[in-house]
Amino acid sequence: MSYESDASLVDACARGDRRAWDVLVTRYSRLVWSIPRKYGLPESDCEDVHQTVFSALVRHIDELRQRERLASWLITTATRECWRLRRSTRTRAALTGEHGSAAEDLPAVPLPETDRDEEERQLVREGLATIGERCRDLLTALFAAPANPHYPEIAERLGIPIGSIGPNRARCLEKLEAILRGLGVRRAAE
Amino acid sequence: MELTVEQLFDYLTGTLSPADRQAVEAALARSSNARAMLERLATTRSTVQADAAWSVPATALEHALALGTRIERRREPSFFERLSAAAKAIVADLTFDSRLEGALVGLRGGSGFALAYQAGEIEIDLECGTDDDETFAILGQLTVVGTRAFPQLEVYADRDSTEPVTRTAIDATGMFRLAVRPGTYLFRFVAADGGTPVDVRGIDIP
Repeated sequence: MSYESDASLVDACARGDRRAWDVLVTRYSRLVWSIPRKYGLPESDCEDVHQTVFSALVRHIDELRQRERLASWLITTATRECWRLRRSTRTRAALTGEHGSAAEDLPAVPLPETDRDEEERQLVREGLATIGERCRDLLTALFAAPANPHYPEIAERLGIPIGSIGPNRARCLEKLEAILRGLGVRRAAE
Repeated sequence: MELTVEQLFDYLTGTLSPADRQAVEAALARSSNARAMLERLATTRSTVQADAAWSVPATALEHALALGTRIERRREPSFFERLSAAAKAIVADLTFDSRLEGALVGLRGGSGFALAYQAGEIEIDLECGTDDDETFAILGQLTVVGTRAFPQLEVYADRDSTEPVTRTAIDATGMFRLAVRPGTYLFRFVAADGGTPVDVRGIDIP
């Protein structure tokens, strides 16, 4: 069974495929967690949002209309859950007189393009996940460097000859570019 | 000048000479495709760097994965699983009917009859006495080859019933008592170990 597209993944989950659920959670766990994290919520709140979003997905999996837009649904649901948490925190603060919770300090309105950013980041993760272990390790090491990557250090860390980095870098960058373009990351303006 | 992804990577990471950098910028100004490619590289870089700083706690991941049990409950059994479940209901063979054997020995009163069924490794003996006009009072004994214990019997009107007609306890010697109307029943012997029960169908109480 192929779970490549989100639509096929959601369909499989709706049919009760446990393995598809595992793939879905593994694929999207970081995306979901990144939303409350972006708002600076503490870990306990991040965990609440994370679990609530995946529980909601189980409950509403039959009702997802645009199954290929799963990432967008998860981001929206996580954002709403952050807001719900904020409201309940404010209510509790009003009742108890305590203030200063991170959930209380969420920005007034989530910026619409922020969702697109998160989706793009998710697509990058998916691209890296599908590219193959060798390329993934090399590209992650190259991109993780804050400035000019230090090749001898990367070669040592990955246990590969330094001379192989150049040709592999070219091949892996081309491969990643093709994958990300195919996934629709940062399309050129028409 | 058509830019390659490698040139753009070097541009992004600041490893080009000033002259090469200028040439790349001029090419970028002319090509929206090259700008899109550069943006993809920049998004990849920011994602990799941001993700390296944190990870989802293992417990949170485990909790979300555990929701898979609820997903699993949605699964419809396959044709072969349904077939297999149906096959597990053993059909009982009537091996003895006292009414066909002439003299009735050992039954209380003399108005009753005895039946014996064999189903796989299970043997069921039933002494049926009339309780009233419509019901048979049955004293039964279950004999099982093997070590599995069945402390409970559920009696169903047919295979598709979800609620038993009656249920009764089976004692350590395999004895049980029932009161049922005439009919053909499915006997479900519930296992003590909580494992799969044994269904015996075709128990005919005439």
